[in-house]
Amino acid sequence: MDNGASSYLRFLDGDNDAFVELVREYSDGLTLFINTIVGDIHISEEAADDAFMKLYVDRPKYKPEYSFKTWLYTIGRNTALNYLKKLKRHRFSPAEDLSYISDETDIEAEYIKGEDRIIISRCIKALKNEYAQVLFLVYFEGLTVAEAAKVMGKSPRQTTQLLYCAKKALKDEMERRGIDGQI
Amino acid sequence: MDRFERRAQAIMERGDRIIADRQKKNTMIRRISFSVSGLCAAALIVFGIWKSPALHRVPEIPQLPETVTTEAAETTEPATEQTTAPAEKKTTKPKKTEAATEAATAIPTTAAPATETAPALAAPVRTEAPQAVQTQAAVTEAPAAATEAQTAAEIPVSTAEPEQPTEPEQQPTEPAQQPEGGEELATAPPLQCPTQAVEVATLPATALASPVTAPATQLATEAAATWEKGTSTPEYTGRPEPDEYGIIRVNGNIILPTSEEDPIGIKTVCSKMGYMDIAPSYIMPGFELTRLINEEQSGSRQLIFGYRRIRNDNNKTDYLWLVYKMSEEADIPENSGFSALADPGEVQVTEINGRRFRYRYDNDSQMLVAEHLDGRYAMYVQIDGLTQHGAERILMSVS
Repeated sequence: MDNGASSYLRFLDGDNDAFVELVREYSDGLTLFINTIVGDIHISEEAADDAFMKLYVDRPKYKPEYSFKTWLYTIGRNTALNYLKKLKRHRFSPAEDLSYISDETDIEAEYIKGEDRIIISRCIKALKNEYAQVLFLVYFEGLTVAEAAKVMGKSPRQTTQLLYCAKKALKDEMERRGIDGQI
Repeated sequence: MDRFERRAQAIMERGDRIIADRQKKNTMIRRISFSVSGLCAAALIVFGIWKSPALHRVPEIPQLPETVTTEAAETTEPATEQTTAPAEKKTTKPKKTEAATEAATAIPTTAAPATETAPALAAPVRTEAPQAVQTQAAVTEAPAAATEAQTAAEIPVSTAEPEQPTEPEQQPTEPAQQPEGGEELATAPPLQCPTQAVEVATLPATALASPVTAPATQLATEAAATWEKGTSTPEYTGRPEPDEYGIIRVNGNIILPTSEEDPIGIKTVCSKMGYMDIAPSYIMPGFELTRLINEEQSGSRQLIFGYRRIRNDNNKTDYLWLVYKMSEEADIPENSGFSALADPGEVQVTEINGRRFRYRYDNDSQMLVAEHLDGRYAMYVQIDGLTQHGAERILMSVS
């Protein structure tokens, strides 16, 4: 059992500090993952907050057969898809709820360590959403192909094929941009 | 506080607000559901009571006594005897004191005579069983008399009224407390009769009409004859016993003795009681026998069967009365039962199974009255609430 699972179980027992630990550990990664779906870092942050809100309010039961990160990212993906539906309508958020929202570069710079990875991250954003998701999950979050397949709701074989295509597309994109990643 | 903590704090605050709103909503839903379900339950109960057939049921008619004897000559006798009863009681008082003083002065062992009169109207007669009471009599001046004499006296049964149960026992002490002249008087203490063997016997009303002059021993033996010590009381079998005519009365229901020839039972009862043994062989379902009265009057007597039916559709009540009359002296004249049969224009005369019946049906009141006379015997029929067809169907089944 990884740390996220133990923190979540402590949170279910009434320890709110464990929830802060979860936010500290997974919020940035979840935000960037949702950003690969939504394409807007502010909306992604909001969707990530809603995913954590589900954990806090509904306290869903955690199944230990999956890793906690896979489970949390699955919740985040579903929340992002709901957000995409909501975005078609007018949406209002209180200003105070958005006070903590940071700039995308800050999050990237803090979460993705290394200049090469930042260049790769910027190139990934130019790809299709599915390519970006699978590349982000496998190369930045360190999930296996099977776990990434779970999060994306696809079969492992589909995910493997998708990963192959995504890497090819990323290569083309990096060649087009040059070494520094600038067009 | 870093940005993660601020972010977590914001999420938790929003989450707490959502949880509080949910709790408020749940509380409101619970309260509303409780009140609405209570209102619905109350409405259902009110509707059920409103539609309940028990609300519209006619109350039960109380049962009349089985036999009503109304003879004017007999009713005067107890009244005259009741007035003489206290007079007899007074006359016995001096005798009783004399017997007591004699027993106290001279006779060491005497048996006091039991002469007592009973009240005429007390329904439960309180009888005291005979018992031996030892009294001590101290003789003051007689040298030959024993200073201490034990007298075993048979205390008579006092069938006196409950208000004065100890009057006879206290009377012998009166002359002892008030000595006169130089007479030898014994100062006997008041008799104390232990009340351990007190029995209550209920006598029938006819027995109470005459004064009870039986000695104590006789009453005691009579009381003891009904129940002897050491013998078990009769077991209750749970089945009510029929009376001498085979009629069973249980919980307000009257059950007549039936047979294959008489499935209703009226003819059997009539023949046993000495009335005309004809009766309807058909009575519609739902009619219940609620009254059975046997009346005796001077020179005649009559037997009344009262049937009743409550309809479920409109809660109306139908009645069927069968009255059998027997005169001991003269023949019964026509129209003695119903004045409605006096009008010869509307009265129909028919023969039912060889018997002549006069009857009339009134459409307005839905009532059929009929009579059949046979010398000193008569049968009257009154049917209320049925249509003419239904009432005539019952009447025509008389056989």
